[in-house]
Amino acid sequence: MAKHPPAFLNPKERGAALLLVLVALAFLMPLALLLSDFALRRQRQVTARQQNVAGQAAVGGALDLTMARLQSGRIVLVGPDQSARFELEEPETRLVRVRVSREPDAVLTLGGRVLGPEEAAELDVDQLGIDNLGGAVREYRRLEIYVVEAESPARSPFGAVRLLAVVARLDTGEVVCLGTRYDRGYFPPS
Amino acid sequence: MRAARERSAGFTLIEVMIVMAITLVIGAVVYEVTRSSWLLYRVQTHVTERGFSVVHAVDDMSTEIARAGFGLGRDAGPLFPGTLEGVRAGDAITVRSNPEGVAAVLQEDLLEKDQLVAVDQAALFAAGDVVLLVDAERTLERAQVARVAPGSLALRSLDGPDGKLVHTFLTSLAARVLKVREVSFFLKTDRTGAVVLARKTTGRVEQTLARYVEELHFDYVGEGGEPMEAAAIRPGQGPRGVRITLRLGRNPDLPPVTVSPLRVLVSLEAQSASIAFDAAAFHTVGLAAVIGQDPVSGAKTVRMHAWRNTLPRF
Repeated sequence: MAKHPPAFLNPKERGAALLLVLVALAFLMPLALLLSDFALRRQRQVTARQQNVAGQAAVGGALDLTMARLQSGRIVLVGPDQSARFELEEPETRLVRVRVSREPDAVLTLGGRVLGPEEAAELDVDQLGIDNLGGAVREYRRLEIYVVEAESPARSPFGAVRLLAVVARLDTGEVVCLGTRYDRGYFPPS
Repeated sequence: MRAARERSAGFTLIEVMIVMAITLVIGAVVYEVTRSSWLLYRVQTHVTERGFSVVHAVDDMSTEIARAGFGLGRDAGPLFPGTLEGVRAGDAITVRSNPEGVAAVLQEDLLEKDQLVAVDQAALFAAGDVVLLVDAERTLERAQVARVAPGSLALRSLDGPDGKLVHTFLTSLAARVLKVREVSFFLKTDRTGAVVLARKTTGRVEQTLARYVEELHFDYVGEGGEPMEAAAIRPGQGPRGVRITLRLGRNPDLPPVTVSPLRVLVSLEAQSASIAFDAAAFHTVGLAAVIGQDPVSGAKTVRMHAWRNTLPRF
């Protein structure tokens, strides 16, 4: 009486099951790779757009916050070439690095000219005039000029989103934006 | 014994037929799988290409629209709902900017084409530059610099016949010259008869962003988020945002696919400020700034220009 159950496969045919699996994989793998490639390609498009939109919104928000801090006096830069840095990072959002630097002040004339510090040195910027309705009109407005750089760093394979903006702080304390540009890509550290 | 073994060697007809039948079935299955995979490949490649085209085209338009007015004032018409030639249309948009911040104020009245007029920053311009002529009454005209002389420019209109100026620009109305970069997005039919989304930028050749376009539409949003009629957009009065709708059709040479339309709302950035010189803001001056960066040193430069928003009442 046999002590061992009969072998499932003839000893000469033991590689057949492995061969069958390999053949099945050879048929199925290209199809699986093809499908996953399509899925990933579509996903990459969507993610790239989300990253761009999210990065742009993050640096845009950083500019608003910086303007609010300049207006409230939380950021004080007393002279040209001074700068301040801070980072914004909230849960579920992107890190944003912000640098604010002060540029030489400018003086705006009622006639629509921008004067640099040298041209404005001799002027009495508090001078008032009277218009033809008898109202008091200022001749000049002194402006503190700031450059704001906000960057949402690159997260491979997506590039960084950077905002460069010029803002002015009026002599009344009000802060206004004079121009904004967004760039995407990889930037050297500033 | 040997004769019996020879009789059993080889295959019987039944065995051969069974093997052939199995081979045929396996062959048919392999053929079907291969054909389905090829069809799937073509369909998915088409879907991916359409999807990428629509995302890329909308992204390109969004980037340009968001920067409309960079280096310009609102009075320079940073956004026009129509083509570069000035034709209003719901399926076209033109945005203007002045990325170099090149601007000058007229020191003499500009009355006719090719007349040399003194300007305060003539050296910043070059012959061939496309410019905008603007004054305090929001009169706007596109022109080209015909000649640059020390302290003065000669200009030709791009809106009038033979370069003749349509309007006159007076120093009493604080007329100024702004170098301008214009980008227009519009639909056209190409040589093959396909409707394409094209992009034309000042001084550059026309580019095709997407083919087989079924719908392109721009809707405008006012300051309070309310819909704004395109007809209401004019220099000094622009929208706060633009909603882009782009729907691509299928490529007729590829298997049929369904492409979802994309709708995106783009907010326009604040690119200039109006600064009051009196309590009632009867006297205001516009101010815009651009920021550039030296590609080598990384040093940033700021260039500003100002203009009288309102005429003085002295």
